[in-house]
Amino acid sequence: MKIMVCTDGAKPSAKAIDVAAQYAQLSSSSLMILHVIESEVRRNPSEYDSYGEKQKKAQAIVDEALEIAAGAAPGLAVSTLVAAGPISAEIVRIAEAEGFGAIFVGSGGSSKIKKMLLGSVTDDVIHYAHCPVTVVR
Amino acid sequence: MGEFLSCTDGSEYAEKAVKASARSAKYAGYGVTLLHVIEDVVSYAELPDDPGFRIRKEKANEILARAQKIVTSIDSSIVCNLRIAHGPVASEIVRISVEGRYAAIFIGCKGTRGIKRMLLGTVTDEVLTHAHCPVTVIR
Repeated sequence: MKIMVCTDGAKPSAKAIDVAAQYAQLSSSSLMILHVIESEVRRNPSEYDSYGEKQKKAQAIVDEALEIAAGAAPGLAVSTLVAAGPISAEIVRIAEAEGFGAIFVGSGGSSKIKKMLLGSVTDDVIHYAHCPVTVVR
Repeated sequence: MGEFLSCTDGSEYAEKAVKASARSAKYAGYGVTLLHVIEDVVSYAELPDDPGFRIRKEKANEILARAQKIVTSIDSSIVCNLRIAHGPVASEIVRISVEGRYAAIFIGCKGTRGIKRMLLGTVTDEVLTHAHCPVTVIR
């Protein structure tokens, strides 16, 4: 099975990566780390040369995610992808187009009030994904 | 050894969730607790002889027996507990998941209640908001 974990570089995402990596290892699946640069329309991330800073930030988020995954599940096959577009739409589209069997996401913010709510991205992904979604908090 | 909490009301999506929890339990070497919550309007627990309660309990047992069969069909060596609870469904699920320190909750995207058109059931939505552990929503 192919498993996807989405990260925005925040704390809940880090936990989601940890859980997803462990699950991927146990189920002999491969893991892909996805970061979506927010943009109103879908873009090719290579167009983002003009957005040097955003690209750099995305790369840093993905690198950090790789480290977390390697720590949680040494030896696991992990790939990464940076996309650009409306975040939840891109997550759902890529998961379906590339045949992912499960999506792992974090649960929104870390403040007390935010804990009471799911993030809007998480909420959309649960609603529109074609496959099981695990919300990690 | 850890354990997963798998919630079922006997609906199509719930039974898919039971299946998913069994698969994950097999990979992880975990046990599974199958939970059905009887939604209490009055507290049936205080009226054990009430016919309404008896019917609901029979139905609960049927649902859990079917779920257990699903787990056994994935792997008969999975340690599987059955549990019936009473009360507001979502809060019972969350309470039990915290008390039993379950590793994750498995739940269907929608159950037997509510509008068919709805993409996410009210119970699932509430569990997602209040749970303390990872929640896997199956659709």
